[in-house]
Amino acid sequence: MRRRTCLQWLAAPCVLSACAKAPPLAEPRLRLLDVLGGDDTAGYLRASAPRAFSFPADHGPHAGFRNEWWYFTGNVDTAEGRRFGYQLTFFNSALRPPDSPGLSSAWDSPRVWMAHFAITDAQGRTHDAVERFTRENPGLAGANDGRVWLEDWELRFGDDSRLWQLRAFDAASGMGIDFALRQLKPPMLQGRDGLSQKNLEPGNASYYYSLPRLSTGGTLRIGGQDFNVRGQSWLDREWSTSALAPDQSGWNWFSLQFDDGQELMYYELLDQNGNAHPQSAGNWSSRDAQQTYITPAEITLTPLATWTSPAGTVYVTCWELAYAERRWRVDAVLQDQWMNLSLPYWEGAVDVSDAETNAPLGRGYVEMVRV
Amino acid sequence: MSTLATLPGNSLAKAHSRGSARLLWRASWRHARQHRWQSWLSVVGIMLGVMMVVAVDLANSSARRAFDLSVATLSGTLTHQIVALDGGRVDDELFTRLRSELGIRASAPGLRGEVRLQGRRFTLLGIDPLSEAALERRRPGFATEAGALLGLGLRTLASARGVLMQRDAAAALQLVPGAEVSLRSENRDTAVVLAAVLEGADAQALEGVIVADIALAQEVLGHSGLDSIDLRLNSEEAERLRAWLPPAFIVVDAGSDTATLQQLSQAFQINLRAMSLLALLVAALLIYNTASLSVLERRATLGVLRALGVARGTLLRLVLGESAVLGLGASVAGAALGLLLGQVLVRYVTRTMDDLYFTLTVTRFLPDYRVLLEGAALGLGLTVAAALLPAVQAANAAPITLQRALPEEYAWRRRIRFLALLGVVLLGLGYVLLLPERGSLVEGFVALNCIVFGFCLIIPFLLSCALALVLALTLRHLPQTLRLSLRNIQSGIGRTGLAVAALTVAVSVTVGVGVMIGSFRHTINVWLEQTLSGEVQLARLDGASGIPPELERAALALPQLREVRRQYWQTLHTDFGTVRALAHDGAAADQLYLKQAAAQDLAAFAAGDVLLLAESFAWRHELKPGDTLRYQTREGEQSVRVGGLYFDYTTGTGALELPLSRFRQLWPEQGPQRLSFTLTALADRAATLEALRTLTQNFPGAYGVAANAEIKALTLAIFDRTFAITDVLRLLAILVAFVGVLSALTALQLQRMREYALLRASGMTVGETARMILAQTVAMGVCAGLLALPLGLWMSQVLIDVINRRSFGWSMQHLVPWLVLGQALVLAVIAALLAGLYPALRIRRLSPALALREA
Repeated sequence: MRRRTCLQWLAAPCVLSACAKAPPLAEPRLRLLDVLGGDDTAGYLRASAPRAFSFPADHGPHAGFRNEWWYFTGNVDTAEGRRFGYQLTFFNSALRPPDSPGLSSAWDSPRVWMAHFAITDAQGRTHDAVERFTRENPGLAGANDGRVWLEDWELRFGDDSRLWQLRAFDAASGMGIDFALRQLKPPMLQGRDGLSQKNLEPGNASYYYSLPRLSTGGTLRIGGQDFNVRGQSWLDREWSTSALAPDQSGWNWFSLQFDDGQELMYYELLDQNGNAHPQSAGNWSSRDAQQTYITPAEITLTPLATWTSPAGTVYVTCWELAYAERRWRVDAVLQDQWMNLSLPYWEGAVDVSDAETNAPLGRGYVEMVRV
Repeated sequence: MSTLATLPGNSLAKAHSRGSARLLWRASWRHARQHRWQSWLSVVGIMLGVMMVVAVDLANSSARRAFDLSVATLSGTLTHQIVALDGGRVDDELFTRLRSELGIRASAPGLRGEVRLQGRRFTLLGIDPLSEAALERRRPGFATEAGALLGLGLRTLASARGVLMQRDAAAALQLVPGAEVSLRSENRDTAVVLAAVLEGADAQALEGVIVADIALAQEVLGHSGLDSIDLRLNSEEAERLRAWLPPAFIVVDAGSDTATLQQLSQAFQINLRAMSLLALLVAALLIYNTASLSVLERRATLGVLRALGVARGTLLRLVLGESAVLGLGASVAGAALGLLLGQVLVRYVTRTMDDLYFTLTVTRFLPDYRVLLEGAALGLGLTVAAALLPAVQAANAAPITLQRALPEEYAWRRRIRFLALLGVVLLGLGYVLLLPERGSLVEGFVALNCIVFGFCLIIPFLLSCALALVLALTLRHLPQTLRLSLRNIQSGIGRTGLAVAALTVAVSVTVGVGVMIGSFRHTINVWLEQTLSGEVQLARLDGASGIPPELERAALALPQLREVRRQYWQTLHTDFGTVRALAHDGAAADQLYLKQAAAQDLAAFAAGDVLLLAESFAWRHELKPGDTLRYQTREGEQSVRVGGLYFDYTTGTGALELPLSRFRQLWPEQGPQRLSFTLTALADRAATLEALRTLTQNFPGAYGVAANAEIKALTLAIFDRTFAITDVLRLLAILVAFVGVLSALTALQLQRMREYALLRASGMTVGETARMILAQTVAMGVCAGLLALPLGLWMSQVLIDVINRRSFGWSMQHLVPWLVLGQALVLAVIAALLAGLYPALRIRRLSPALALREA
């Protein structure tokens, strides 16, 4: 789902201008394909047919595709009950097809990398976000069978694919995480057996799986102060080559973890009028990891409250979500979890409760992007 | 009541005053029209003076901005840099470690090199667009629309072989985006694609720059590694970095070296500016002359006006007003012409800076329009100031005095003694100012101006005495017309004296600068002779580990070569900044042009105990033999005593000579950078050079092979180019003086028309009268020429021993090129002769009867 995010951010000129200056307040008008050569997918592998996933190999990089990312979100608490949300993402995007000739220099980089890191402090009512960009070489960023890194931010996974380590510290903002994660449920293959079709054209799809529940523990730093925290995380993994659909104007993405051990992922693509696009889709995972594909006809999303960003974009911060005769209320922990980065978007921790009784049922993360 | 009564009276007085002011202005206008020549010459004089000042200022400020822009474009806003201690390259991996181990993100790789595109020289700037974004480096051409540029940067990164150029530079080579071109560096060609052109307000800063992704830049330049890692750190981060950094690297403050270079090139510009101010001084003398003459000529009118009750203040304002009008017109025109001339001069100035100090990436004319205003204001101010004395004279004299015949001439005879006294005081002041060994450059120029101006003030007195002496000694031997000419000069000493002074100053500038340049050129020649050992030089150009021993052996195996001397150099980080440390095999006295080194110091040098400093470096940092110099090595800080000084005319941040043993200790891996071979008796030089060139092609690296004669010719060519601008300025100074002499003589002769008419009426022929006038101007030219010699020689001494020393720390031998002196004399006479032509021709048309009646 987040393919668009990655592609656009990596490619857009304004991404880089924003790195050099204060983040822009105006919502960007990204023209990804202007820079990256548009729909030129020649030379890259395509996600055109279902494939057999194999772990831990598929946690590592998939050479030959244009884009790939590792997307962690999670909710954690201190022993005293102080609540935090976090997001750490590694994106990469190829600058040229893998078999095109390169240069002999150690700096020759067929790929560029980007990382986003954000922490929401529910008690302190703050949300901070930072980003990093770098070329791949000489060894500045990359991915192999056990590690994904961008300078000193890294994700490690060993032979035992159930154990993960996340480490990112940002000196300027005084925030960081050093987490150990353990996979609690098997990978959730999104779309049809992991092939997430974005539109009707063959190949315009991604390989997409999630680890919907990772127990999380370690140190979280905010304002230079360290906290011992425990909680649960969600990992989204996606790789693809295909380009954007021109008739889409944004999306809303939900990853909800219910206290009873079930999960819901749903992305609602928006058409040019802001209505749900027929390609929207989701997945329900039962306690025993049985998955159910969700079509747009089966789910109803009703906005209940909104928040307007300093740039004037309206984001929904309270939803009513109805699926399979159940109705939930999804509330943002903080109204302002705006990622004021090169490409501003809203991504933040949410609470899930029963729409009728208001009884708390779980937690999650929501992302809203308006292109 | 009283208020009411006074009101009409006041208005009347005002109306009257307005009426009389109009009348006075009309009288002035008529006078100016009647003396069109004189007015025009004044205007031309001021115009030329202002033009010079404005042009030089514009050229300087433009060159300075080009320098600043170039530095800013290539370095940008940095605080620190990591460089290799041995002056080599910084490993690529060090950057990765810096980011991933130390987490210093405000960092970017720095790499640049020289490339040629279609034969034109460019600086190839290798950047990592994404690191630049993290460093937040601001630099011209990159600053605005950073996003657009970095987006383009990313596009070049994407296309792998894309480069960026400034729009005009690309257009000049008829390149459009998508064009495939070839970049040449050290005899290698690399194909690249012009990915896009850079536009925008300050993109002109990138005129001489080709921007490429760092990977492509390394590919084009044919090497790995970086020049530097550029950083923006606070002091705490810098300390943390220093503690972490491997010993082969060092953290330096950004910009310290460019500051030294800037200081040096500024000194060069101050020299130019001083010369332009001298020209304006000459122009001021001319203005004074014009104003005082116009007062003198209108003595009858002014006397009548005073008798009619025109107030002194009104006359003062009138004379000043006239000058101001002339000055304003001339200054505006001068500033406009200066703008044109500045565009020519800036090429000389930037070329010099480029040759000597720094590779400029911008050479275009970047006018600072404030200079135009300043120049025009200076011209106007000087005009009014120069007219002040004549104006006061006009206002202060009683009506009766004003009408008396030639009172000014008598007054002048008294006044020249006073002026001479003032001149002596100024000369003394100039002398005293030059006494201290050290002092600022500005003080040096103040002293120089005191000397020039003081000398100027003495000239009328000297001239008067000399004429009296000549007339007394040759009373019976001189022909009548010549005696008349000389007496004419003497009786009009107020004007002739000033005209001679103006010409003297102009010609003395020629002498002073000519002698200085001659001496300098001679010294450079001697220095080259002394320091270029052998006959053929082989040098490694790409700054790598030096010339491989196999190449040296192969060269010596050539039958034409017999002996070799080796020269080594490396970058050394001292307490006083980065310097070039050199070492030679062989005795120091054979390789260096020593300035100050005792025998025991040379012995200590040979034993490796002391080092020798380049004179200019020692001067700049006030170091002398016996002092201690500290420098950084891989093993930590070391210090060595300074044993002596040697002459060095290379430009840059500084140089010193290390004993070879110590050099080898510091850089055991470093091979010689230059080999000087001696030829066998029968060797053919051209064939030997060719053989050496062929030989070098078998070895990795870039080499240069040249005969000593070629190096000398090239050095002197650069030298001559440096001083070419002074030729332009000298010529202009002469032109101003010529206008001054012409104006003074024309006025003088025209004023004397009645006397000439009388002479003509008493039987003197037209030819005799014309000859008399020409004899007079030639006599003045000879006087000016002769007086210019001592002043010029004095000026050269100040330029050599004070100005150059304070500017660059160079000392040089004095050489008096007799040709320059002879030329100066001839120049003065020709200028004076030409100035006499118009009055001489005019006398031919003179009707004695009419002239007598008009007078």
